[in-house]
Amino acid sequence: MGVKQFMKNEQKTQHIETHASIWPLFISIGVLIFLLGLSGINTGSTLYSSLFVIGLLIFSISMIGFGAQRFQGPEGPFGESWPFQGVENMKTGVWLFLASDVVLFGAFIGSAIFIRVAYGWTSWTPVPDDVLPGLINTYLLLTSSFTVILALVATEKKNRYGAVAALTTTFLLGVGFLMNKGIEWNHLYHQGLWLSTNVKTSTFFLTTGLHGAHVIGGLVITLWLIYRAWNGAYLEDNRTIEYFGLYWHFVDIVWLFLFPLFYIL
Amino acid sequence: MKETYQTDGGHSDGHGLPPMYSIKRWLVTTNHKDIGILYIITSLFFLVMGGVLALLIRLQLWLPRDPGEGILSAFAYNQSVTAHGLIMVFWFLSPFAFGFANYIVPLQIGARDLAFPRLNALSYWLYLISGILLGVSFFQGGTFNGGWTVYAPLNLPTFTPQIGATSAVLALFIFSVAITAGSVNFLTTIHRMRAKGMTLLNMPLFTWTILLTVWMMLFAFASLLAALMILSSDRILGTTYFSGTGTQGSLLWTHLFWFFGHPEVYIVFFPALGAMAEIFQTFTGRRIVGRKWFIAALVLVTIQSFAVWMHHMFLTGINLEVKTIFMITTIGISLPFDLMVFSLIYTLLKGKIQFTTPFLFAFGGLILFIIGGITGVFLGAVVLDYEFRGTYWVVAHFHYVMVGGVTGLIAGIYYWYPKITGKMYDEFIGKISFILYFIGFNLLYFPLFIAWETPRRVFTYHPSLIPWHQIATIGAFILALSFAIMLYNFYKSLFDGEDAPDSPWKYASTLEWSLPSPPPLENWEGTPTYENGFLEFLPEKKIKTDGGETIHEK
Amino acid sequence: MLGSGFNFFSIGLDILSIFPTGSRTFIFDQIFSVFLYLGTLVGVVVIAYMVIQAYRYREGSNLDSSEEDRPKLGELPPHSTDGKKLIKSLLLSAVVVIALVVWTYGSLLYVEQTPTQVEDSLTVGVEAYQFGFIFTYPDGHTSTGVLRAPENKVVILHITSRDVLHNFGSADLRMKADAVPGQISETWFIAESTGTYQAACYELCGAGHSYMNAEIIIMEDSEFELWNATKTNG
Repeated sequence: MGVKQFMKNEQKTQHIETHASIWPLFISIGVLIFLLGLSGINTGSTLYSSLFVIGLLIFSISMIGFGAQRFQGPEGPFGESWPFQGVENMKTGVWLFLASDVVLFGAFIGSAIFIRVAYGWTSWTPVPDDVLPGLINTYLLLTSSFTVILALVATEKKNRYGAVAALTTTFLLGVGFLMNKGIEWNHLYHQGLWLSTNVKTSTFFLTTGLHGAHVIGGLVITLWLIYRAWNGAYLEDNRTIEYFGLYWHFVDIVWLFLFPLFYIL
Repeated sequence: MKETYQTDGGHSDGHGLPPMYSIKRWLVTTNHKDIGILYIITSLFFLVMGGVLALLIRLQLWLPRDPGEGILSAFAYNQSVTAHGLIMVFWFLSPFAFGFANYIVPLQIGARDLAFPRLNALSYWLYLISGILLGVSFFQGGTFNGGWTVYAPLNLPTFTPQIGATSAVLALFIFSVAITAGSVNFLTTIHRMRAKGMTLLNMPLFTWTILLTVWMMLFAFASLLAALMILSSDRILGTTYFSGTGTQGSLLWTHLFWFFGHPEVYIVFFPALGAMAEIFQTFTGRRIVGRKWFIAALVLVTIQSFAVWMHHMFLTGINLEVKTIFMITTIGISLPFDLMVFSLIYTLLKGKIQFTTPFLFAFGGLILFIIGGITGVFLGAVVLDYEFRGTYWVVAHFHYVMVGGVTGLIAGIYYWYPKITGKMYDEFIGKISFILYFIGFNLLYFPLFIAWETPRRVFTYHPSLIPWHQIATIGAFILALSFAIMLYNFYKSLFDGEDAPDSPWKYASTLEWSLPSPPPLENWEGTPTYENGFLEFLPEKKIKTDGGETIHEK
Repeated sequence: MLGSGFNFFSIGLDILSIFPTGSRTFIFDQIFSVFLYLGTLVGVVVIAYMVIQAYRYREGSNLDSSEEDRPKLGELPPHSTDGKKLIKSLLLSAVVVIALVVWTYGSLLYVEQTPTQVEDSLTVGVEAYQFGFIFTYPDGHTSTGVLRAPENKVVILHITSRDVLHNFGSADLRMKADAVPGQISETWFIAESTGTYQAACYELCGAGHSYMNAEIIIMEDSEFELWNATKTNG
């Protein structure tokens, strides 16, 4: 059955638990094939390139299946929950994931700083010759963080159109961020500056690229949220919007560190 | 908030899960007990793989080899030592411990499952495919061959061009993603889903060590993830983080790696320590002496583990002030371990000690850990470390502590085998396996202290050291034999072992021992609670909602 | 800061004799022996204690076979008041370990400061590569795989690598340092008798790592002077 039909069924029936899901297995198979393809991608061989694409496809479809499946873990209230009494499971999980992501970006930023100190801090000029694209991106992302909050407020007020509008604006602002970055990177590429050019471009492109990947991931989720919000979800229970907001604010805050580090200092 | 599990008394429909003898069951399950079993069996497979590599290494080291001699080429030998380290540290040790964590921790704290069951299953399957990817890497021109520490710039394509090396890095990357997902899961579960009365301080020591292990994992593996992502980028996208000589690329890797690498060794040891503590209590019939101090020591080590990493870098040209600081923090971290060792030893006093197989392994494991720990103090004295660097003193030290940890986990597998399988293992064969294990272990690793001047990761050495290396090789085969006997015992007992009672152990006190062996899918009926100071199971209450549906509230 | 400005060479001999000083070999052997002796003693005592107590309190011996105060199924851990013995043991072991390490610190300072403090020394550059070592003398002369030096003289080594991370060390002379590409690591040794000593790479660096060796030939002063004056590159 299609995803739509599956989900209509889910909304009709009471949530009957199973302990079963095929999606973790399929996601992992997709990842395996994708990584196999990635390992040899530079050889240019058809085999590796096909594995890369097929793996990505299986992964993407499985992620949609995973997201569409109605599955609920054990809900509270539980007995002892110190120190997370007021923070339910999903929210705790999101915060913990973000804590780990902070250390991840911390390591990337720390690496860039380490390299720059070894190189000579003051003799290092930023890779982008123009601060403006970075500045515009900062404003775009900040605004999109605001629109996510608007989406949350709209769902509180059970305003379906408002929620969809705010989420769509968030999506468009995020796409604007990526397009702006694309133009900037294209400009740099034509100046002969790309990932492998030198150690400065290495740190610039990889770190802001990692951030960009987080933005892309967030936008994919936003599309899913728009689709669900259009069908009336989140008006009763808007926690998912809140959790996404946490992630999106995190992505925004990381950019507020990357922008000065790679554009200004 | 309503509980959304259906928990009728009968459990007749299996809640959508196929029966245990069907393959489909194991492919779709998200139940913590099933996933625990999957982890244990898969990690034992990797133990055998890493063990075979170790036997090959020991065979090569039977004699000092001239170029071209011995069963392995230089390239093959370097792959073997690398893969042996990677497989044992990553693909065996932690997953093995987490097999138990998955099975036992929810039972101990009174939870029906982990907080995110599908994510749990995803962690397992990503672990499995990461191991498959590592296996495939051998066939892509050879796997990584620069040591499990993957130092830069040796780890770059200029020096390690084979695609298999990239696959190995990617395998470790996705493994780390699986671990991070697992930490989020366990942290949410242990912090939020405990039964009433099960405050943090009241938690069993095994659950405590798992809790602290996943706290360390959450932050340490993020550093490794960064290192591996940057390395993958250097290898695939051509960035130059680690190749820059003017920008200290080599040193950058050592910082990123060891910031992860030091907590990692406690990540692999802590679960064993927790299992040992439980087993000491159960088989001495005495509660752990100074339990609060024990817990405090565990917490201290967890925090301090992030402050010692440069003791792996004493010879890299860092300055004296920094070396002094890390010397101090390194000695500092040995102190909580002293306390925990004393705590276990003093628990023996006034005990009624039963020398069952689990206790033999736990007791033996503690002895091995003490020897390893003492030799670690040698390494903490910087002026000695200058000489020990890159020699077998380091190898012997970490095998005593880490495989001492494995010994503790083996104690765990004997301890929890009846609970998980519902059968008793053969006690006599178990004791035989212990004797062979202890003899083999010490024959293998103790001579390596005597022959400590042998450089690491080489297959030629001074002829005067030949007898020691040969004893070690013999010890390795005896150790391997003990594992074979142990695995045979576990397999055979599945079929002809006695049925196990709820608790075969007289003084076991934790929740899992009050349940049938093995526990039913939903773990228990009703709700476990400790609110009155001891374990009870409160019956379910039925209430009606507006829609006339009956829901079960707990 | 620690060490900088604290000049050992200007302190009386009686203090010097507490911390081993002298050749690297002497320092290492002294400290290692003490650690070995103490470590073995501690290990033997602790393990013997463990084994004896485990035997004494085995089930079936008549010591304290009461069933009171034993762990019971379903209990919560009681509020423990014990721990005094534990803290005492911890403090004792802490004192021993800290004293040991503080004692070695004096020798560490000596080792770290010798290159700057000693007046008469020979400085040699060492460049590691896959899979050998090139030595460069003060006059620019280079030699591959063999380092010649006079006895009883401090030889300071400035070590680097041309490619990957190597290590240059000699077990005979108790000297070792990492060879990191892009930077120079400093170490030193003093050989108290003539002869040929072995050096090797102690960091896995590729397929040829097992055979990445060098020889250190220590010669009498006069012999070394003669060699030094007449050597040619190669």
